[in-house]
Amino acid sequence: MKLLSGFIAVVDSINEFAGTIANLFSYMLFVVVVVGVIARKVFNHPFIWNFEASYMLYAAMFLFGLGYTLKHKMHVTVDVFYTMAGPKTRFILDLIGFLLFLVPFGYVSLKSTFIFAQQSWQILEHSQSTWAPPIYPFKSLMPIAFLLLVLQAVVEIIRSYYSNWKGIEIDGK
Amino acid sequence: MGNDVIAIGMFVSLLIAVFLGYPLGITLGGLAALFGLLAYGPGALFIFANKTYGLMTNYVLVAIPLFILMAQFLDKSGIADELYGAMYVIFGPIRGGLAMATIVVSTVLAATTGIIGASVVAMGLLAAPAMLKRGYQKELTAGVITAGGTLGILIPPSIMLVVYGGLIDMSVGKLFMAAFLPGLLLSFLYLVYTFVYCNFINKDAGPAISKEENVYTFGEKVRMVLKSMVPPLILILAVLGSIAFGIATPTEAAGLGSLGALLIAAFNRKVNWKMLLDSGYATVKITSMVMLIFVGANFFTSIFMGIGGGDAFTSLLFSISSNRWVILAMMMFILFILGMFVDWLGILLLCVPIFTPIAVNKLGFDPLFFAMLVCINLQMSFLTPPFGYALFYLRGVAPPGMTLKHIYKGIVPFVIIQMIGLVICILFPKIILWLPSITIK
Repeated sequence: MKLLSGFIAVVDSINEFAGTIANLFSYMLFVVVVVGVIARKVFNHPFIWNFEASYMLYAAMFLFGLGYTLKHKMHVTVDVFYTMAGPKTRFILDLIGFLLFLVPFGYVSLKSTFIFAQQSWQILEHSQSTWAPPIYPFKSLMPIAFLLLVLQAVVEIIRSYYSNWKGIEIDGK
Repeated sequence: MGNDVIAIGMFVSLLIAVFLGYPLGITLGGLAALFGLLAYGPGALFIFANKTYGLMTNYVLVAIPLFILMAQFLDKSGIADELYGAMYVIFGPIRGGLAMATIVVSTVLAATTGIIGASVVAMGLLAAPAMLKRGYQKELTAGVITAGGTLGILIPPSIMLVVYGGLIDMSVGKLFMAAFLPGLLLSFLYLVYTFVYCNFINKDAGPAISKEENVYTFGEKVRMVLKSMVPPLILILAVLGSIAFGIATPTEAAGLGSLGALLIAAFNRKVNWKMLLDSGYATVKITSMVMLIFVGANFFTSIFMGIGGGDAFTSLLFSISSNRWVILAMMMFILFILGMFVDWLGILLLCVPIFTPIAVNKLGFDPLFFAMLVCINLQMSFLTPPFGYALFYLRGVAPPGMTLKHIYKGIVPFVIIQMIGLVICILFPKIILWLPSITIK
């Protein structure tokens, strides 16, 4: 029990931290895009890094937000039946979803994005643009983000077991 | 096992799976993983990484978080309060006036934001108590707030149109221009309906405000309207104008729009650390929510189309009829039914890649025309029970005494009007195609 609540606390706080980083990225993206337009339109002097920096910040932001958003229960669900169900049925639905969808999704997303990033590291891949930033750190965000999402999903199923099935709130403390 | 069987199995499992209530993006991704491994073996793995990386490097989609950030700034800037205050005074003295004011304010907000939650919540908090206090019918109150708020997803800027453009490589600028008149048409039809209903059909539904309350002089009214309308109009002109005249890409326009919204909020003294932090966190959550479904649905449709599900679906449609209008009607019907249960984003991401080749290549419909019919249709999904976002947003902030039953009853005439609007656009395609033809080349 102590180990379990310790695990929940660690995952929760990692994803809270990731959410804060994502928040920071959203403002960096805002600044980069606005500075980019002004540089291009007003001073007629486009920055070579602007285009790539924009999509890199956007991608980093939504990737780091995936687990955070799950923690805050903001991912879309079709909950017509879920909301009508009693707590025990809710846990069963959560468990089916976890085993049937999260497990294969987790396997495919982690394995494929890990290999994808690994290949980029092996050749120390750089972007084929004038700016030519290294791409391997950017591609590595994928396995990290899906790992954070999967970990949070594990925490949520444990939480659902305690709150819906056993009727006790388990706080990660 | 033949691929046809796998494709059908995939489709049937999807219909069951979504109702389990697990996050939609993971449900779609998980199903695609299972069926992909079944059909392709380990080769399916690399589709996932490639497709997801494609989303990460899609510059068009960068507009999504920026438009969401802009909506968060506007939401907290206080412009909705000022607008409603002014429209209240202008429309209040006529029957149904407060309901019409709600529609006008929602339309202006729709042209400044690309999501719907904010304007339904804002109107639910501002307009609903004001209308109920003056004895407005609860159903009508609920109807105008939800239908008006839903315009946000159709009238540009709109996240729905950005997703559409990013999904099948269509110009988001053109989609924005195409959606403008259909959006205004719906808004106009709502106004006409409200006016007719309150003045001729049910004179008690929307009483005029009392003479004692109507104390403003003409000059004061003009000043209130100008003061409340000028900031959003400048913003609309800057964002949509810069796209229409090809000055900025939609992504750049979204960045400028966020800046404008932040300046309006600063002018109204609403900017502080908490406001900035909250706006950022809300932007992260909504963007990640959209993108997880995008990741899952993209993977799902690649596997589904890869094993021939698209062809199976096409031959199924053509076995019923080969008349292009019948097939179009069937597609619209499918979208409408799905819209009652599934979120618009899931429907759009799943159906558009399957429907578009049929509608455009096989039936010869203009891609822009078809896209707009899909979007007008999906707009209804916000209102159609049991699962309609706008209904839930309003229920969350509804004043005491307004129940879900009032809301359900209230949306009926507006859904019918949306259907009429859809039919008008099918009969007169110029409503969709004229504006993009004169602005963007």
